[in-house]
Amino acid sequence: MNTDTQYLHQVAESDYEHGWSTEIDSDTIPKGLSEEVIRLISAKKHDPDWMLESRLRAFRHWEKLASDTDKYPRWAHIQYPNIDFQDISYYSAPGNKPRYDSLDEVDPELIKTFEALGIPLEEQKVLAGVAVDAVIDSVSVATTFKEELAKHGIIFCSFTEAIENHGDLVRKYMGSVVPYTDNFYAALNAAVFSDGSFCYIPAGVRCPMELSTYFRINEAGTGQFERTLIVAEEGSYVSYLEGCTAPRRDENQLHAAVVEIIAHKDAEVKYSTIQNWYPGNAEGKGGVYNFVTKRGICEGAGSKISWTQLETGSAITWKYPSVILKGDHSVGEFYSVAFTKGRQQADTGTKMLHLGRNTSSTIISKGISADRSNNSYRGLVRINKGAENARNFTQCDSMLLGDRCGAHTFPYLEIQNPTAQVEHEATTSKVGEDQMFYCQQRGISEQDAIKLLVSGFCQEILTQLPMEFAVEARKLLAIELEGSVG
Amino acid sequence: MPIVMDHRVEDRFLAAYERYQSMNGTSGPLSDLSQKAIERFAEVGFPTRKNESWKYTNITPVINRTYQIADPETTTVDGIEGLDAYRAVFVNGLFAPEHSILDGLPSGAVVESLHGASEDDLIQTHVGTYADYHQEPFTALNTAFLKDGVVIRVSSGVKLDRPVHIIHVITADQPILVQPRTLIHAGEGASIQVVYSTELKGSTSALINAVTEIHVSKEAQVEFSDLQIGTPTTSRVTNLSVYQQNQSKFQSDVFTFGGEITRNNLSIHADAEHCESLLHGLFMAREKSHIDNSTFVDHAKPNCMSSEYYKGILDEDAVGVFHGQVLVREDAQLINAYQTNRSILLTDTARMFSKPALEIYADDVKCSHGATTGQLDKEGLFYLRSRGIHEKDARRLMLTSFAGDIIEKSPIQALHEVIYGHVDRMLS
Repeated sequence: MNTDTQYLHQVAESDYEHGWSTEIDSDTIPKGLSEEVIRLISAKKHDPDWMLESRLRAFRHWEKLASDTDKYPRWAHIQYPNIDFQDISYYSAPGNKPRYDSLDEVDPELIKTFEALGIPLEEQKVLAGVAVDAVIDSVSVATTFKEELAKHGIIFCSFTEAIENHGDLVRKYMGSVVPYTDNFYAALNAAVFSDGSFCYIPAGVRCPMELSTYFRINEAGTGQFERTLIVAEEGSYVSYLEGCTAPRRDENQLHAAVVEIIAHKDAEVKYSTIQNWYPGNAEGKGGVYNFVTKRGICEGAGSKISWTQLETGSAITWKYPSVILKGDHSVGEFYSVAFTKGRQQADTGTKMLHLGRNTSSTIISKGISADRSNNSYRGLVRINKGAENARNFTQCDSMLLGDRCGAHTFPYLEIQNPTAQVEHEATTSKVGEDQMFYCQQRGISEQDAIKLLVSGFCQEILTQLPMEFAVEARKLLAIELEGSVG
Repeated sequence: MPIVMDHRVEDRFLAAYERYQSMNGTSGPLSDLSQKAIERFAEVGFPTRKNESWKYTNITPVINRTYQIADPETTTVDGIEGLDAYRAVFVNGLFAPEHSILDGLPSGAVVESLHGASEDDLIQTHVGTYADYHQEPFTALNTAFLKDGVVIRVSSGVKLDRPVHIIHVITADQPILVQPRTLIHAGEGASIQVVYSTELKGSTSALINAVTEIHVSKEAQVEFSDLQIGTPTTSRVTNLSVYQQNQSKFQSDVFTFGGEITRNNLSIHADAEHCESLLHGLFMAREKSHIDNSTFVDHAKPNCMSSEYYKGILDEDAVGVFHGQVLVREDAQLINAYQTNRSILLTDTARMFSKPALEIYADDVKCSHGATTGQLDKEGLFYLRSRGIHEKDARRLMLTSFAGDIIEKSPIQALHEVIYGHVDRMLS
């Protein structure tokens, strides 16, 4: 067996670094999904009437979609057994629910969890200057830096609080980018979502710090259905970070989140994600099913939305962060690194929908597959009829580390305006032998050379991440490659 | 209460099949195949836009019409000017020896009607083997109605000095459905060039559903040029399936001009090492013409090379579709596969949908694809105009050279001029 293969075997066998589960009393409702369950979730969340109605509307739509298993979304290049939606508990909140004012009041077990993750809340609060809205399972338990944000008029809180305190804003924007009719999982989310984050940046405000949320799936058998809503008013700027790790589980966990971003005139929203959910063991058992709908709309002229993601986890990733370029001169960006190993399957990419004039979009996607994993890029670029002078550049490169994995590219280019300039490039290759040789003859070990080359392959994307995140991303990628590189 | 049955469009074709069979008899070596194909067709029915590979092409209006399957009438054949070739002519799908010119074919090369050759073992082994009627409903339909077609056999080591020109003449005064069938078998080390064209007599609407199967044996070379000059009332679905053996070389050059709806399926199965496959296409459309090129290259064995190059020019309300798929199977190492699609939109209402996909399961490969869509280079136009060339001429010059890239790839010189002529007519 050559070292390459050995290396990959080791990756496959390497344990999930963040695999453990915290023992916290949870308030979990029994498995199953019905109108009653929706009402129960709604009651637990103290929803206002309009919210309950909106949930029920979504649920009825979802019921229709779910009534025929043949109609489940199957177009993606992924394989999994049909999910039994009645075998999932749709609500789980950590015990000791009251909201905390200071960290001292937080359940010590929870603090330990964060410490094990290497992101102690206190330190972050003091050192990093990052406000952390930590979501364990479905209820936000700690929200920091709120006061400072409040000074600027920025609202950054859990979705539950947002519904309670800023109902009008939530009502106005929720579902405006991803309506419940959008797709199967968006409908499910709209019906059962329990919490998430809400972020509102008033006109002309540049958010003084990076906003971040850490999501963790914690309760066995409970899917997590968060909702994130970010509204950036005219001329504002915000950088939002989302990162996830999840403890190891034997049964598949369903994660169906919805993220909506609205950028008004000249506003800019930068959304960065590190996704490291439990990918399942070497045989592909267990692991998170990640079916996420993320979409932003550049509503006003000159607005910009940028998605950056590092995807290393989940048994299945089904995710297409998209931008609707409605305002003239608006800009959409998508930078992605997807790393799959073991039996992971990723079908991820983006959609850039050009509606306004002089809009431009950039897509850079890097896929790395190892072992028996499958990694697909699926992206749509649509230039509508009225989108004069639209510009798109797409580059998607795939790298294969092993001869039993797959790397696929499914681009869709729909051009309906002659002034459009659309370019798509894609390459698939393995780590170059000459590059390896060059490194090795300079005394760099084979393993370090692969690390170096993969890191170089992803460089373009990692530099897009905010600094704190980039450090974490590099660490994560190195850990993921660790086995492969020996 | 009366029971009203839902009248599917497929049912009309199934009923026509029954009548067709009772008229033409159901015996013969291909009747089994025909029976299986119609059963498969009844199962799957026509593709709709919900079908991923038909996402951008709506064939429903075309199949909803009523067509007749008619016997040939006396007619004339135009051919392609300047093309010195052997000629096999089919009228409404049936072999017409009186129009064919097959004298002087070297020994070892046979061009004959499928009907006359049906007893041949070779026919039975190959017909229906490469064109998969399980996957493609139109192939199933063609196979079900299989009655005649052309068979070209070139024995081992035989190299044809001139191309073979297959002409399908369609004559009708009523809307007509014609389903031509072609089998080309090139033996070991054989070499052949085939030109395929259709002539439509009369102004009626027609649906042509053609299936062509090509077997390229070890070290053989086949070049296939398909020249389609459409009219606003002709629609075409073509399925060209190629099977390649060791060290064989296949090249296709598909030229599509206009037509109501055109769908060209081209699938290459490179089932041995060191195969070379070149796929070239040029499509030009105006008015409401819709041209869909769908290619599938299946690299099942290592050390092969495939290169695809498709270009399109879309004027007025025309729609272009390019759907390319390259599959590299597990252990098919050292594959070089390239895919390029470039399109130019000339008006606000023209549209282009491009979907160049790669599906790769082997690591030591070099695969790339590129797609661009835009308008004519403004700087190029400016340069020509600054040299005193009228804008109209400058545009035509640039578009001709854009198309020329593909035209020049055809090894048959006589076709170049003819195709340039069609490009010119489309641009004027």
